[in-house]
Amino acid sequence: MKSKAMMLPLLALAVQAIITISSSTSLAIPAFARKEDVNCMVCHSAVPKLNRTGFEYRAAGYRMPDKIGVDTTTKDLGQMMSARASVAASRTDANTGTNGANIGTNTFTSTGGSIYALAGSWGTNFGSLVEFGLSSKTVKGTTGTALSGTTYPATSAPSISVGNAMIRGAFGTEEAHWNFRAGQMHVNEGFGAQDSSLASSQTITPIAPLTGLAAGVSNKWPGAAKLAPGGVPNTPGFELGYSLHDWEFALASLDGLEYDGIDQSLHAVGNGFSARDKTDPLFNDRDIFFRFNKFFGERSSVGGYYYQGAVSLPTVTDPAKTSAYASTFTVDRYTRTGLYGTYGVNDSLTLMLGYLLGTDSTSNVLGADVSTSGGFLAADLFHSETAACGVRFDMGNPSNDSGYAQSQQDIYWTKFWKSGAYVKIDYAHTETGAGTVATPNLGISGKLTATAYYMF
Amino acid sequence: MKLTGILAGLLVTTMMSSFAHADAKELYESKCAKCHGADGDGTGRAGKSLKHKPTVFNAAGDWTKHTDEELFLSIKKGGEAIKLSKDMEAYGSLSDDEVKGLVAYIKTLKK
Repeated sequence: MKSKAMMLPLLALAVQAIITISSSTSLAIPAFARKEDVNCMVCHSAVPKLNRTGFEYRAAGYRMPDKIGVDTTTKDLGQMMSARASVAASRTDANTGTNGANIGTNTFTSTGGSIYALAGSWGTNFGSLVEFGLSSKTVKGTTGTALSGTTYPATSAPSISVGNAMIRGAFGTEEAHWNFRAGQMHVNEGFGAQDSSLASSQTITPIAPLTGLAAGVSNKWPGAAKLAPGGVPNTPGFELGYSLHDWEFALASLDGLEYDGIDQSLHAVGNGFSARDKTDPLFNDRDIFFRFNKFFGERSSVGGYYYQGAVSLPTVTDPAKTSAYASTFTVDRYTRTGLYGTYGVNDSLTLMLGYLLGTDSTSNVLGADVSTSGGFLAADLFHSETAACGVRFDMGNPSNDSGYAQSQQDIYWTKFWKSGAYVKIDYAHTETGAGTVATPNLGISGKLTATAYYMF
Repeated sequence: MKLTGILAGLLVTTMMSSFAHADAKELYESKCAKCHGADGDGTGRAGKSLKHKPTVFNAAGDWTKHTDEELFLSIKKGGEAIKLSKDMEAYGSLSDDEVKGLVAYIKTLKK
């Protein structure tokens, strides 16, 4: 009865979510807290940022590490479901400098949500998580132009994506255990600085400019963000990890990314459901990912990752966007490296830094090889059990061209209520240097974002 | 006959209280030990990263300054109810008798 009562609001949300819906990044999942019968703050220093217990809980297959080998199966499948709904409003003031008369103000709202199914541990060693992200953006008012110089569309179609769909396993003891993941996953599961920022905006990540694409293909940063791998993608694969006291290592073999000619963007191979197309020159290729983390006490760590991947990119454009697969490809072989440090000064203050480096090579087909880099410094202040604020300073050069060097200052605040409500307010000020190639100065922008979530 | 009745009554009372104690112990182990530790030493796995460390029950810690009623409230309505940490979850689904049993059991952990 209790389970049925729980299912009804979930189904209602699912229906509503499919109608309205939004993007998905992993957030706190109340199903875990319900199953463990504990407060969310057992695993989060501030929602959604994980503390060490949360990090180790995830690595152990959504179970407390001292429960590895203990049967945690629940007969109540409702306990393994959660959902999240969100609504966001933002205002951007942009001065694009020399790039024409591009002083604009844009406001919009977006609604969305995620549905989490089979979330939690089962049996003596296993766990699972399936996350459907649902998204839709609706422009409430447009009085200018977007940074790229393109007017925001009136609406965009709702979409459903699979953020995660994986099985986990852990074997051994709390102090030393092997673990694995198989399925569609977000591979960079870090701690502190390596975890997602509490801010709405995320750190500047290496993005290849991919200069040299045929006319008509958006090929300059930030427009190229649609085409170039930034950071580490969600993709299907298999990961093997080992946890030993304060150390954690993981090595993964992944399907990687592919180019979709219809929406002209990169996404997980086969959207996470099927293999690469046989015409893809990377049909048999695998991406490789390595990650490590070393804890110092409960709140400090150093960590990092190395990603080596390849993606087939079109050398000609398909303006009609009728074919998912381009007729001619070249291969971008890329690496992404991240190093992170997290220092918990005390129970309330955490200092973080990170350095990110990327290289892209298309054997000169799409232009010279490029190296991209970025770094950040951040401080999170947990001023109460359920609220935190912070500042972050980013610098990066996501292109070979120094004209695209970027800096960003971010100030943010988040608050979580036990009812499941959660808000974050964020202001990001971004400056980009004058360009010297086809896309000129991208100027200065300020973006204020307020997002409200409800999770259950 | 009267003496037998009294003895029987004492036996039943003793059996009932020892059953309640065992019941409370089981409840403590399922609900509280994950943060407060099986022996009440405050080292339960789930409480490891909490900003405010779980109360230690097995030492003469300052928790003893709280009355039974306050302990009852902190379990039933969460730590916030007696101005302790919000991290202490409310266990409102427990019956009053279960909570009273837990309070009694926790007091036995003091060494």
